[in-house]
Amino acid sequence: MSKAAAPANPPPPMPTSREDINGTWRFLEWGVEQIMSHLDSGVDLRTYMSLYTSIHNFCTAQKAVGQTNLTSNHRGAHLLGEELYHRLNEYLKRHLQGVHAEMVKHSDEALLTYYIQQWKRYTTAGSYNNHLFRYLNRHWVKREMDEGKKDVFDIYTLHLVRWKEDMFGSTQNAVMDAVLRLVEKQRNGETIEQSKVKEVVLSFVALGIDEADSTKTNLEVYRQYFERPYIEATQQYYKNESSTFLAENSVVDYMKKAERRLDEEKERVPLFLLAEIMQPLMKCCEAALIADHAVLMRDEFQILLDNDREEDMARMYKLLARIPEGLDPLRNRFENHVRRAGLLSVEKVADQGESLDPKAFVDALLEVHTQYATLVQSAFTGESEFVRSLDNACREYINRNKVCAKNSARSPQMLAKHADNVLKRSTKATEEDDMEKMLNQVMTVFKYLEDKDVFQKFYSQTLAKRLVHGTSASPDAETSMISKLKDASGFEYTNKLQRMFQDIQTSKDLNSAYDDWLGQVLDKEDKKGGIDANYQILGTGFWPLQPPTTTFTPPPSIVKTYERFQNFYTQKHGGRKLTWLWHLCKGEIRANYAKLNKVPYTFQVSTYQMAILLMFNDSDNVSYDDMLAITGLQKETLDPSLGIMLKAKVITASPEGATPQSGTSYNLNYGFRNKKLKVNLNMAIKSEQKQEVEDTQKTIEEDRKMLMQSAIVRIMKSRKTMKHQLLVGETVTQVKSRFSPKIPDIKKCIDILIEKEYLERLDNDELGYLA
Amino acid sequence: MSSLLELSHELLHCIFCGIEPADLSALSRTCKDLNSYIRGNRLLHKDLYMRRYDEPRPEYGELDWEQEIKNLVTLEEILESEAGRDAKADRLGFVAEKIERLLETATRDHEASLNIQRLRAYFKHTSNIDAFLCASSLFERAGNDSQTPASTAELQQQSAKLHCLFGVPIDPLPKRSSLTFQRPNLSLSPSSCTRMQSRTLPTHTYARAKVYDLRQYTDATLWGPFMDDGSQRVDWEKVEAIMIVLGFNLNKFSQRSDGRWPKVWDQAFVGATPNSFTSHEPAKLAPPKESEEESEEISKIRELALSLNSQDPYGVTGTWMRVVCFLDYNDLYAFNFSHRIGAQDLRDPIDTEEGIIDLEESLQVTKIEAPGSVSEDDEWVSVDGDGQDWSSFKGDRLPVVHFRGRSRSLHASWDPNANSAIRGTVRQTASGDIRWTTFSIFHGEERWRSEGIQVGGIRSARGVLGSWFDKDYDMHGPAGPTAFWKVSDSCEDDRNSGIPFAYY
Amino acid sequence: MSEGEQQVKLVSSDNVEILTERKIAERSMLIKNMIEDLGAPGEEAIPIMNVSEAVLRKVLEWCAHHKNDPTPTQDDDADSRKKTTDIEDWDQKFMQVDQEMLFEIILAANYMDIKALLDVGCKTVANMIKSKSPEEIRKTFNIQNDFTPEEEEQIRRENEWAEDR
Repeated sequence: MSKAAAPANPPPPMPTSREDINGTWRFLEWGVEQIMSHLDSGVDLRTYMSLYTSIHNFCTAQKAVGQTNLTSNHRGAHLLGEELYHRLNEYLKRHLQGVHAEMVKHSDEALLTYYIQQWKRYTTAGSYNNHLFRYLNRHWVKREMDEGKKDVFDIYTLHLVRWKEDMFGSTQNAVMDAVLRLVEKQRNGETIEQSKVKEVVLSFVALGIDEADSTKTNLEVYRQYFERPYIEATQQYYKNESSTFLAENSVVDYMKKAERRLDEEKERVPLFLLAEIMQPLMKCCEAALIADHAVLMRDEFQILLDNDREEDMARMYKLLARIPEGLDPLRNRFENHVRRAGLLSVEKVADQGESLDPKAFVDALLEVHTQYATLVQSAFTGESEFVRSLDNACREYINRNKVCAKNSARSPQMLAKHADNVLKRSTKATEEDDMEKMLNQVMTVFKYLEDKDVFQKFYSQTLAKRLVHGTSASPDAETSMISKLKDASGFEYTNKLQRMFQDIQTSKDLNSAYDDWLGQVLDKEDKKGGIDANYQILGTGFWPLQPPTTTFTPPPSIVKTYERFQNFYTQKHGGRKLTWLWHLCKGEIRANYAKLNKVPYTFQVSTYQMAILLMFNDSDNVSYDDMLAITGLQKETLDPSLGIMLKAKVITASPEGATPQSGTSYNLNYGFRNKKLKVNLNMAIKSEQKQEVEDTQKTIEEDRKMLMQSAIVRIMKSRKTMKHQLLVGETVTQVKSRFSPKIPDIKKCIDILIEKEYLERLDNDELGYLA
Repeated sequence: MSSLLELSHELLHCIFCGIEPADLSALSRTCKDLNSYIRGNRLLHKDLYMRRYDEPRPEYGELDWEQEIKNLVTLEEILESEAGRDAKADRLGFVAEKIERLLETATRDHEASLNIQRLRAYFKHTSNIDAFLCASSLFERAGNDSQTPASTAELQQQSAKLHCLFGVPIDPLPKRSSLTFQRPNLSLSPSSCTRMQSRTLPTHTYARAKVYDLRQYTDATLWGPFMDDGSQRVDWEKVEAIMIVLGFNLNKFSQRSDGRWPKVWDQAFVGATPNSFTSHEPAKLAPPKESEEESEEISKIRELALSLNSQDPYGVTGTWMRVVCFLDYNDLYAFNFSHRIGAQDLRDPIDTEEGIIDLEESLQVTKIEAPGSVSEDDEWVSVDGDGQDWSSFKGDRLPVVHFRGRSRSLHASWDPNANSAIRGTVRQTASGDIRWTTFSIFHGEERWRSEGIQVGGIRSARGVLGSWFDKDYDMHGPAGPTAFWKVSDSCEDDRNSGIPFAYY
Repeated sequence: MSEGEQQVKLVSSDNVEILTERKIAERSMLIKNMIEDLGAPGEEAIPIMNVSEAVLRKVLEWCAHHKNDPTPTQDDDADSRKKTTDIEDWDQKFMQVDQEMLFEIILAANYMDIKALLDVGCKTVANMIKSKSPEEIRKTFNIQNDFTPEEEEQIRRENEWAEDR
């Protein structure tokens, strides 16, 4: 500061005449110079007030009186002060010339120091002057600005404008270079004086004077002269660094480095930059550090996947997530990978062919899903797009794999079977928690099934059996499963299942009501001859059950019992017709003729077997023809029923080994022996099972046709007319939640509806609805 | 010694900004100094203006503030004066002109507008209403004793226009008690009985007689609310009659609907200023759907629609409310053709109840053409230009905007006339008015046409008043009044289907 | 003692020292800015060069009454256009002074940069003008009619738009 050393000039006299511009300015110039260059030596009260007062006095010199001769365009609107403003402006220009001459002598950090020092001095003086010239600001300047003059500013802004034009333009390049070198030093690990960068930022921001309204500031100057070069330099720096680093290091190590660099740049912002730079800065860093090397990283992804490098995958995810479309290729690779893993897993168990254990199959499906669902959570933050990729892959391998290659119904069927095994009472009791867990696993697979209707069919059959035969492990588990299915696929989907379940509950109540009734109605004699019986009333339409395929004459000993129940039931629910499903009925018979340790054996038998065995109460030898005649059974049912009893040696054929046919007769085996007291003779017949599966398959096809037809009618009812193509498309969307329909099937359905005159063909491939 | 004249200019300005504009005159007559200070002091006049009135939008440029202040002082003195209707009526021309200007320069938001607040206060006074709003030729027969037509046809037009801008039909409903009173009372003397019966009928009966007089629908009037000289100048007396009839019907409809149909046209001067319509919902087209069905073609159409909207100065795209009234055809026929009258004779007032249809219309700009473009709909114009005299038109002419849309009934969807497609145009006439032409299309066939004028100018909230008629110009009708006004910048259809209109 | 309760010493143009609270003195933007720039003056007196003792005391009376009013912001300036001409009761009474004092207060408020006081003063004068005839205005402010009869007639004609006064 060369000027500070000079002795302070003695003040000129305070102007005595108000209108005297030269006298006024001489005094003011001295004062302003004091403030500009010698503020450190202080300004006293009297000087301060004198300066303010001389400006006030000059500006208020004009009076209404005696001004009648003013030129007309200034008349009335004229305010004084312009002269002062211009002289101050000229003074500032001169002043800055001096500063500029000194500034160019410096470079690098010394320049920064000098720039900041001068800026602070100049702007402090500017705010003093702004106060001293406040009268000018309040009136003349305000009036000029109200009048729309764009080149008149309040006094402080005038200081900034001068600095911007007379100093900034020719020095900002050098200043900015120094700033950038400083920041580069910091990136290279050196310690720097961060406050210097911050001061420069604030100075550039202050110079952003809004051209439309000079009382406001914007970030234009800062953006153009600071932000832009700063970002360019940053990008260049990381471009160089990253390619050098990658030439010598692995991708995995590079990702760690990039992650660190991004964090550093982010932390730098609040230290000495404006928050506004964050977005463009990060974008530029991301471009240089990630986008430029994205291909390399993605190539690494497969290796990481194959080796389960979860942590590295997480890092890669975080990096690529920062750039636009960075993750798409990753997701595709991930999806393919999961699908392959799923198919492979199924292939391993598929060799077992028909005898494939449903549990093994379902486990194979779940294993892959679980593994990658966990990965999605841990490495990909559970991001929804990755979840979608996982879902796509799972849907693929669950619906199209080696096991269901020939028969697409196989996957849902296996799952239903597995569910049956889970829910069936088994030897080892299942803990409630385990049960819930297994059911959830079933649901996991279920959600991916495309042919949900197939699952529904098989599930309802197995449920029916569990309910009818009372083999369900726990009613709670059954309800839980039904409500899970309801949550996943809606009320309609589980309506029948729920009704079946209800029927069983209602039947229980009915039985106890019946028992009460019996207690009132029967006398001792009647009770004696009675048979303990339990009834289930199953609503037609809800249960996937067929009436018996054979004729049957129930044995007289049970006729009375069930007729009594029938009476009771008709009394209660007049008008309902009961059909006895004999093929599902069963009972227990005590063999008083054969005992183990003096206790008679008990046979668990079907109603048909019961009818056969009861015949032996009258005779130890019964001919095949008599059996046919008395049971009324058809040969197809009679023969297998006999077969089981023959095999268990409850009866023996005569002649020995004779096939069931006319002429053969059967003897009761008095020498029957078995390890258990209770002998189960009521076993499902293989051929029946197979038949069942085929029937189910057929009903599925029928149901699908109905579903498609009703969807078509519903659509056409609301649209009245529609293009054929559009109708097919709309139908697909409507039924897709149940199964994935085939286009030719839909077309067939449309043809059927045209035939039935629900629809008509119009011109232009349009269809019309016929009400 | 300090005195008023000793003060510097900025202080005088500060003081004089606190006086009333009317005081300026006295002040400038006190002495030469103040006279010279005030005369030509643009800023002082401007600041005084701004304190009292809305700041005109920048497109009006710098005004002659001194002249503006003088005019407005005069206007306010007339409106404030206790003078009777007759004294005021002489100033009708001046008053109408200045009020139109105050409305033109009012700020968009009527709640915040000083101009509108001020005018509304003045027009609470019966003398102002009678003198300025009720002086069209309609009041030859309608209205009370102090509501009589102005001296010239031009003044009658100005009054009718002012009435339309005012927007609340001056047609006080007879109170129930007075209705009873009107019934001939046998206990009265014969003479008073006669007097009772000859009492004036409500104004809407005369307006209705004008609106449904099919002689008004001619090629020269474009079958709309225009002068019968083919000039396309607005016949504000017709617009006034339409407003009165529709206002009466809407009011009745609103009362019967238990509030489901909100009251309209009950606030003076609201919506009568250019750009006064503001949408509560931002204009938006549905975002492009991700489905593949969204073909490239449709997204192009959507883009085109967006760019058309930005070029459309009239703000067509959006949802509009429309009301259409009609006389039962038998009534209309009987009214027009049951007995002959002279060409200049007016038809008798008619009180027959009309039918009313409320529609919601979704409109969308489809094409923008250069100003003055002639469409095939304007059969009557000569080949050169659009048949108007543009010699006195100032400023940039606005383009012709074509639109399409759909219309659905709000209360009678079963009505075969309710739901239709719509197409039409908006354009500017040589006198600067905004003219709307619409066609209703049923099953691909154009059936009804309407011609209307936007009251309050471009993008006004008040909307369009006009007439509807057979698109083949059937001189036996039917025809009647219609009005439509905008309710939202967003289209019902955008929200529902996401397919642009051009696709239909 | 908080900043606002500090005492500051003012000196009038006729060299009379007046002690007042800093908070009161700072109603004047001139004094407030000065203290901001130079720091609290302590014992040193602040010369109020253009205001005499009588007027300065009157001004400080007003400032004392309004010392707790919120300080005006920049935005209030822009809104002044829409301000009413109402004056609160206390200020009305305060302004019941002879005309010379009234104008002295206006000048002092303008000099010391006390916007609210300046507004009250200007409004008071404006109210003295409202609804008066030229002659009444002349009488109120002691203005000489310096028009020739011809000029007067011409000006009257120019002002016919507001004739009835």
